Amino acid sequence: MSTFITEIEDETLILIPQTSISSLARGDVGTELAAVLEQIQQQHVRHVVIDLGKVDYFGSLMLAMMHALYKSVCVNGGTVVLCNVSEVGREVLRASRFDTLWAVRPSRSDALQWVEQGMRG
Amino acid sequence: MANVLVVDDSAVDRCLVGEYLQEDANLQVDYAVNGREALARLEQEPVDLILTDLMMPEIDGLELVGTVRREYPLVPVILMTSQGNEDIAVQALHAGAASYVSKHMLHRKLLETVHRVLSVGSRRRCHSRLMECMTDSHFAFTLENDCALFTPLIIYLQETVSQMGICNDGERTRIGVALEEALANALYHGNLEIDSQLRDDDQAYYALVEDRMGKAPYRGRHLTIEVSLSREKAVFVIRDQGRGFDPTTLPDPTDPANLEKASGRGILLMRMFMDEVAYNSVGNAVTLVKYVNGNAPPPQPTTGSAPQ
Repeated sequence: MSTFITEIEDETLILIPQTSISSLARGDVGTELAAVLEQIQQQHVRHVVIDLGKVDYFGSLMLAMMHALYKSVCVNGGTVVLCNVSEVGREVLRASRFDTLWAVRPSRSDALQWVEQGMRG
Repeated sequence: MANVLVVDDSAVDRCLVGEYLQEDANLQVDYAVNGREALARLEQEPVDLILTDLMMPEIDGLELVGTVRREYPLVPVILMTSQGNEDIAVQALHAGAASYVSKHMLHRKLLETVHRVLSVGSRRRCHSRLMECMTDSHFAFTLENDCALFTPLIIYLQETVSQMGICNDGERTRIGVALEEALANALYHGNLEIDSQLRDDDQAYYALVEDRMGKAPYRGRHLTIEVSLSREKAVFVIRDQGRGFDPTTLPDPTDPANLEKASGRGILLMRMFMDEVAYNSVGNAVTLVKYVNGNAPPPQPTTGSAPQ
């Protein structure tokens, strides 16, 4: 079973982790991330929305993965927006200060709207 | 006497199920017409077992299983399925249902299934009560560099801490995050001696992990996890057999200049979610302390004369 499901909406890739990703996870998750990064390059994705609705918590590995996604889109002026973040997930983002780098929106539709407005702005 | 709540929107099926159950005089049967009513009943009176239909208006059987699992973890749920719903029954078992029984087999299987599930539920409740009476526990694990054992270990530690009443559900998750980070550090940076700065290249990082997993001296190293639990606190000591490190040399990951560096995030999260985090002088053992309800003792006054 894949850890990540992806959907494309216009220039935005929606990444939906199917479960919490442990910082003890091994290379399989890294291989899946590499495939997502390749998809971003090949399909000219500009923004990434990460829907964390199925993720109870995450730690340093997931932060590193989200940062890799951010780096891959920000070179082209894109951004990463997170949505449906759990309470513990929000604490992790605050502690690591990644909440200063990425927008956090309550729902997927809010996140997509935020991206769309940002693109128009 | 065990209280069984039958949840079904069909009056005919409720009656049928009730008749089968009342063959056992030790079962007190009550009824709800949908998941919402069942949850309201659970708030009002103790229930030992829920027997629910799958397809119902408002809250269906699958959703009811998930909610009961979260909010009333000691109340088992049996799903009653119609023919052709076997896949959903499997989903329900994954979501935490104790068992399922086909509606067309109720006459043969219902009481047998109810008795089996009640028996397990009773043992779980007794075990839960017993664990609440535990005042101290000390134990230790010695593990090889085998990630497959780490997640079960963390789940075991979370459950034990939770059962002793040291933490609530939210704190249990936070303790899990901190333990994961500590174990990941001990394995990857401790026993396998992999520099966290390599993290930027995932493929190279994991290739080195695989290489060192099979190579001496890394292969033969172990992790020890010592745990001391009491009514006041949980103490976890995680020790690796690597060369250690000086934690003061790590960049501050919250400094905007270091935001993009991978180093130090794990320790940051450990400090965030535990009340105390301390490394030994070598840097190959970390002690994590969590106080009950965050009630850390006040700092001890310094004794002796102040340094000049």
